[in-house]
Amino acid sequence: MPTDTGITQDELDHIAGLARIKLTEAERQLYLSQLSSILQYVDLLRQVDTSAVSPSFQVTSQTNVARDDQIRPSLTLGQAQANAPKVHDGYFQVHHTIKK
Amino acid sequence: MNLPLTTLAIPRIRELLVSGQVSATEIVREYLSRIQRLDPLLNAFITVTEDYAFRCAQQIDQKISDHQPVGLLAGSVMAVKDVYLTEGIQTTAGSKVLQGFIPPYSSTVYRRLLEQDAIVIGKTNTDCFAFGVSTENSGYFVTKNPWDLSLIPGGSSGGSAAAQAASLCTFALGTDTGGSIRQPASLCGITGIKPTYGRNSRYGITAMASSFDCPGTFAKNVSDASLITQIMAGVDSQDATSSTEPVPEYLSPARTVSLKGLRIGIPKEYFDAAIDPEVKAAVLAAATRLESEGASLISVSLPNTALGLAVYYVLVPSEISANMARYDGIRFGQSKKDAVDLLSHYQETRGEFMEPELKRRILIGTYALSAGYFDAYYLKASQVRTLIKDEFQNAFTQVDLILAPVSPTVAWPIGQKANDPLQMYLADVYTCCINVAGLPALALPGGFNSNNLPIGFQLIGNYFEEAKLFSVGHQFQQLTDYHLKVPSL
Repeated sequence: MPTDTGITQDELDHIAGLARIKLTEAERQLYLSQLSSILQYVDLLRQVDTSAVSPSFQVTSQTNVARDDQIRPSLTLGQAQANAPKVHDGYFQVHHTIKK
Repeated sequence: MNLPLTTLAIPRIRELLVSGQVSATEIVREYLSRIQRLDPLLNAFITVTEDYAFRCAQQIDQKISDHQPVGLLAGSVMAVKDVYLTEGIQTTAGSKVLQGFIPPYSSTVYRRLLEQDAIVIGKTNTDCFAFGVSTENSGYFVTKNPWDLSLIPGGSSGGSAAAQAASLCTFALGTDTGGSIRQPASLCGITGIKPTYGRNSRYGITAMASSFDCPGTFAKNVSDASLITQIMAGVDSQDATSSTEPVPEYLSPARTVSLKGLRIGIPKEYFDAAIDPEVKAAVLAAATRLESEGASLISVSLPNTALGLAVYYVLVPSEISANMARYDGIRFGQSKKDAVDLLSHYQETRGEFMEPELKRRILIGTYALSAGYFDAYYLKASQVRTLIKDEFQNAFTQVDLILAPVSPTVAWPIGQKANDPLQMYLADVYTCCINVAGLPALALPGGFNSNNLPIGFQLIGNYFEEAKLFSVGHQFQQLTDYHLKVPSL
């Protein structure tokens, strides 16, 4: 459990990596200060005693909505790939992930 | 016919159309000429669908000349927030990430409106992926407030609100995750409904925070808003969180709520030091107007209101960070061409095309959900969410509905808060708790300040009590004429 309310440059770089976002140097500076002030604000929540409160992860009373496992009409391959930057033989094409 | 077609509400325009006094093509032409004249000033639209609108109008005119039945929205022209997927029509979500994206399918609620012969006239500007309160976070341009072009229209559904306020459409679609329908409605002097979470399907709308997002509508008045909601609402097999609760007939004599004896809660925390005195006076005057018709005003307390925004700015960015993971530039969306491998492709694509507010919220959410911080942020905020839900439930044992301001201030100058995200977030202080709890709320015009800028208020109901809100809101609009005032453009 964190005790301080700021965020360090290393932490910011770590979460930017987790979020797969490349930040410029200017963005690294800007977000460091903006995120720190936002996180300090939400620290309001720590004052609340929630030891006896269950969390609400949603606001409907519905649980486990299921449907019959039946084939339904869906997009064609062409429709599904129409907005893709690169396709090859009906596949989405990506950069290599493993170097030879 | 004396009044311009663009001023007419849904039933009247349909009546003129069906009786042959006007054609759908003429209606579209009139709206388009207004858009051509005013949108260069307002920047409400990202895309104007001129050809598509004329084609739809011709089909409706054909149906009428063939004596075929037409839908409930025949003759009505709709502006659609650019987060709704519209098959064959560019959908950008107000972000460069989706520039040029042509969706292969449509959102459920939009499709239901098309089936009733609504004609789409264009896609409206929004803060990128609906992240904002001013439309200044749009990746394209800032929309102007029709009441004063130097001011923001509110947001995130600011393009739709401006289009509605400037009579560039019969009605306009928005989404409300923390106030994004009610706040721009309030700042633009129009009617807007955020239904109960789950009342309207979220399918085919770019996801922001999945346990908060609510599609809804702006309209010329409460009566139109109730009709549109009637058509949008209802369970959808494509959205597992859409509600199976039956949709009642929203505005019918049987559902009329008597103002006499109606218990209206006035939550003291919504009239705290943050509120502008003129806004406070106008909202309380609206309450007094209802009191003079026999309603009783009862002071209620929602003590965790001040925590709502903190809950919101933990949970919403957390859900955002998960939802935004799909924008990888591989299956759709803008894509960096020259990356050397897959990881740098992801990082460079997201780094280059995502707007600053998009990155900011993803980073906050990623932080809150990351190892070691989950309990302190996400879990804690989810527990306080329970407290906020419970205190509304407690209030509804004492009152029938709650009346409150929407925005602590009137519209502010473009640029004023643009460099301070936290100040910007505080604009949602009176709206976000309603989303945290998932309740329905109806924003209504309630007056003007000394600079002739609109002031709105909201009626908040218990779950699935939209009919009560529509009934009371409709009666308020019978007693007042704020909703009939239009900006001079």
